[in-house]
Amino acid sequence: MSRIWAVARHMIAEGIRMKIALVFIGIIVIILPVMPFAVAGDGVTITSRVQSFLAYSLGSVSFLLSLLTVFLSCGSLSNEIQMKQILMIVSKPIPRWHFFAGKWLGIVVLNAVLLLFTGVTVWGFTYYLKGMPTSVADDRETLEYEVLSVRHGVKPQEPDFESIVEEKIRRLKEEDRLSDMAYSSMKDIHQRLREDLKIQWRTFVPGEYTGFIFNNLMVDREKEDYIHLRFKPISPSGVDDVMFRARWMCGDPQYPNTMTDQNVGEFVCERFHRIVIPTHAVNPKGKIFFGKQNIDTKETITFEGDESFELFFPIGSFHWNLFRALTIIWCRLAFLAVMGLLASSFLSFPVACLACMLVLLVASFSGFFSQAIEYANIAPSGEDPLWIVGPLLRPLGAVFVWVVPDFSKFDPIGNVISGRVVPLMWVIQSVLILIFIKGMILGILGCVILTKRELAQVVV
Amino acid sequence: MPTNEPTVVQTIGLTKIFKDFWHRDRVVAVDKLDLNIHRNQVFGLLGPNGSGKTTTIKMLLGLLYPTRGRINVLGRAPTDVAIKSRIGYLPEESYLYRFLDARETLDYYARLFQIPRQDRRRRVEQLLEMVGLTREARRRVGEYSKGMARRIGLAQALINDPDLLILDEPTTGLDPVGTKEIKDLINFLNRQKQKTILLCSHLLADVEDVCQQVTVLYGGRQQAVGNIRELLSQKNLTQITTERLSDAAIDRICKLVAEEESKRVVSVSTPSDKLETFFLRIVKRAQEARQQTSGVTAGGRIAEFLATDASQQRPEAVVDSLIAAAESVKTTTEEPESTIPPEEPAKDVIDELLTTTQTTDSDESADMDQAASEAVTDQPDQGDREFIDRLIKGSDKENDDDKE
Repeated sequence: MSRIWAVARHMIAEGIRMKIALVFIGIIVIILPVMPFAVAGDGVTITSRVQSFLAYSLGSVSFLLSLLTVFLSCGSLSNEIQMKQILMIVSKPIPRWHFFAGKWLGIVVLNAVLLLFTGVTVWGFTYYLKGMPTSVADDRETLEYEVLSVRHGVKPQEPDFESIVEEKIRRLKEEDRLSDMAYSSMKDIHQRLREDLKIQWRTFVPGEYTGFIFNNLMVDREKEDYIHLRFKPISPSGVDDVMFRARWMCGDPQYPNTMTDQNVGEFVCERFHRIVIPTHAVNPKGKIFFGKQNIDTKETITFEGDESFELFFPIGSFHWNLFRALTIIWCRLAFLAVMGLLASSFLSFPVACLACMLVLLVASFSGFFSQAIEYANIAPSGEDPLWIVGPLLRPLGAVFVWVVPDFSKFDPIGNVISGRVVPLMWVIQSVLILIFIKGMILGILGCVILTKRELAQVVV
Repeated sequence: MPTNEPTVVQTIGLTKIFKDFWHRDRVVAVDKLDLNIHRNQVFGLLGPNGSGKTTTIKMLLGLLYPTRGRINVLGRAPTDVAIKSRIGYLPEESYLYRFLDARETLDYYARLFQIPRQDRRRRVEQLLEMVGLTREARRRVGEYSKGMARRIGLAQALINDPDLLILDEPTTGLDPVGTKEIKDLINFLNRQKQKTILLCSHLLADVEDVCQQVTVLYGGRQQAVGNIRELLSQKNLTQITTERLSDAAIDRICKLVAEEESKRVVSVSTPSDKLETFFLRIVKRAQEARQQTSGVTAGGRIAEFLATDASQQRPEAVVDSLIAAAESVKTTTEEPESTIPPEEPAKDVIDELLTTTQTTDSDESADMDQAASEAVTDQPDQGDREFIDRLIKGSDKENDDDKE
C-alpha cells in the first residue's frame, strides 16, 4: 500500500507542477470567485441568481475537471512510457498494477481536493448571495424553499395502465382494427396507448374529480409541519395565462384524523404553484390521498411531464446535498481517470486523449447511442447493400455502450439547483457502478496490458 | 577466473528478436547468449553501439521479454518483483522527472523500496553528498546538466544498497572526476562489500580498470568471454619502470638485455602526466579554494549506509595493501591488481595521486593510475625476476659512476 501511495503522491505533485494541469486548476480557482458577481439570473430575484450561479459554477467545474482528468491520466502514464521514466520504476520492487493503481489514486485524490475546494466556495457564495438585498417580496423565502431546503419529490402513483392497455389491444384485435393504427410494431402501439391513458389521467375537464395517491412519504406526522404540492398546469388550448378554479382536499378516509379541510383556489396556467398541506394529512403508512377537482366551468387543464405534479417534503440540508452531488461528480471523474490510464497503457498521448474524448462524448450522449444501436438491428430492406454492417456492428457497439456509463444518469447538478435531494442510493449506485464495476473492469484490463507489455520496447 | 561463488545472473541461449508491425522478424538483437555472472564479480559487457548490450540488460530486468532462452537472476525469473529489491539499476540515460528536485527524486525511489522514513532521509542525504549534489539538491532535475542527472541516476541505483548492481554506460556524460569516482565506487563495492556488478560499456578504459570478467558482444553474439587479465596479457613482453635514467645507462641496459637474453628492447620512453591526472589536480585545487559553482561539488565520499560493514574490515585491508606495496617495491615491477589499495577510494586516492605526481615519489605502488595505464605486463616468472634483480644492481652502479 505504501508503494501505491508513493506513486499517488508523485502523481499529485505532477498534477500540480506540470503546466497542463496547473492551467485547469488556475481557471477553476479564478473562475469560481468571479462567477457570483458575473451571473445575474433573471436580473430581478436572488433565487434565480443563486440558481444560475449553481448551474454555471458546478457545470463548468465538472466540465473542466473532466478535461483535466482526461489530460492528466492520459498524459502522465503515456509520457512516462515514452520518456522511459517508467523503466526506473518497474525495475524497482513494485508490481506494475500498484503503479497503475497509484496513478489512479493520485488523480482521484487531486480531484477530491479540487471538488472540496469547489464545494466550500460554492457553498460560501450561495449564502453570500442569499444575503444580497432584494426588492421582490418573498424572494428570500422562495430561495430558502426552492433551493436551500432540500426536498424529496414524490410523484403520484400511476393507476394500472397495463391491464387497460392489454384490454384495449384485445378489443382492437377482435374488431380487426389493429392494422388501422399507423405504427410499425406492437411495441409502438402499446406505448402509444399507454401515453394516451396517462394524458387522460392527468387532464381535468370542467367539473372532473381525480384522486391521487402519493406513497413513501418519510414525514414525521406528529410534528407540526407542512409538505408542499408543486404543480404547473397548462391549458390544452395553448393560450397563456388562462385562469381556472380548483378545489382540493387531502386525507385517508380510514384515518379520520388525516382529513383536511376543503380548499378552493384560483390558478394561472404555465406557472408553478405551491399548495401547502399539513403533515398530519399523511397516514401512518406514509401515504397521502389527494383529491382534486376542476371546478371551472369552461377551462380544461392538464399536466405535462413528470415534474409538473409532485409532492415535496423536506429531507435534508443544502450542504449535504451539495456534498452528495460532488461525490457523484467525483465518481464520474474517477471513471474517466481509469479510462485515461487504460488508454495510455497502450496508446500515445494524443491518441489516448482522443480516445478518452470519444468516451466522454459517448458517456454524455449515451442515451442517443444506445438508441442508435437498437435501430442498427433493423432487418434488411433489400435495397441497401450495406445493411449487413448494422447488425454486425451492433454487438460491438452494445459492449461499448455497456462499458461506458450513461453520464446523464449520473448528473446531480439539476437536483442541487432545484433543491431536490440527491438520494443516498444514487450516490451508492454511482460508487458501485462507476468505480467498483465499470471502473474496476477497465482498471484490471489496464493493469493486465501494462504487466504484459514490454515496456522497453520502442513503439513508433 | 574460476570461482566457487554462487551464480547471480545466468542466461542460457538467450535470444531476442524484435519484430515489426506485421510480426515479421526485423532485428536479431541478442543471439543465443550464455552468461554466467558469479557473486562478488565485476562483469563487463562490452561491444560497439547496437551490439545488444542494453537489450540484454533490459531482459535481465524484465523490461523486455526474451524470444527464446532462459534467464535466472538471483535465483528467480526477471519478472519476479521480489528480486528487484536486491537490484540497483542505472539505465543508459537517467530518465528522471523534470519537475522534481534531486532530494524528492531520491525520496520517491526510496519509497518504492519501502525504506522506513528515518532510514530513507539518512540515505538520501548521504547519497546526495556522495555524488556531490547536496548544494544543488533543491534545484529541479530538469535544469541539471547531463552529468549531474547521471549522478542522481547513480544515487538512485544505490539507494537500496543492492546486492546486484547493473550499470548501463555509467560514465557517459560524466566529467573525469565523476568517472573516476564511479570507478572507485565500483571497486569499493566489489572488494569491500562483495557486491556483484554488471557493467555495460563501450568505453574500454573504464571496463579495463574495474572488471574482472568480460564478454564481448557483436551483432548480438558473444565473441569472446573470459578473465580480463588473461585476455589482455601480452606474455611476450616485460616492462620495467625506474626513476629517470641517463642515456648512457639506457644504452648499457639495452646491451645487457641483448647479451644476457639475446632479446632487443622494444621501446624506452619517459611517461608524461596523464591528462586525467592533470585535470583531477586542477579540479581538486579549485574545490579546496571553495570556488562558486552551480555544478557538482566535491563528492566521492562513499555513503555511510553503503560503507558500514567496510569500516570494520578496513585495518586488515590497509595491512594487505601495505604488504602488496612492499612486495612491488622489492620487485619494482607492477602488479596492477594488488597495487590498487583496497581502501576507501576517491578523495584518498586523489590525494595520493597528487602527491605522487607533484613530488615524483618513487613509490609506484600507490600510483594507481599509472599502474592501471601501464600495466600491460603480466607477473614475471622466476627467471625474469633474477634477471631484473641483476639489472637493478647494474643500473645503480651506473648511477653511482655518473655521480663520481
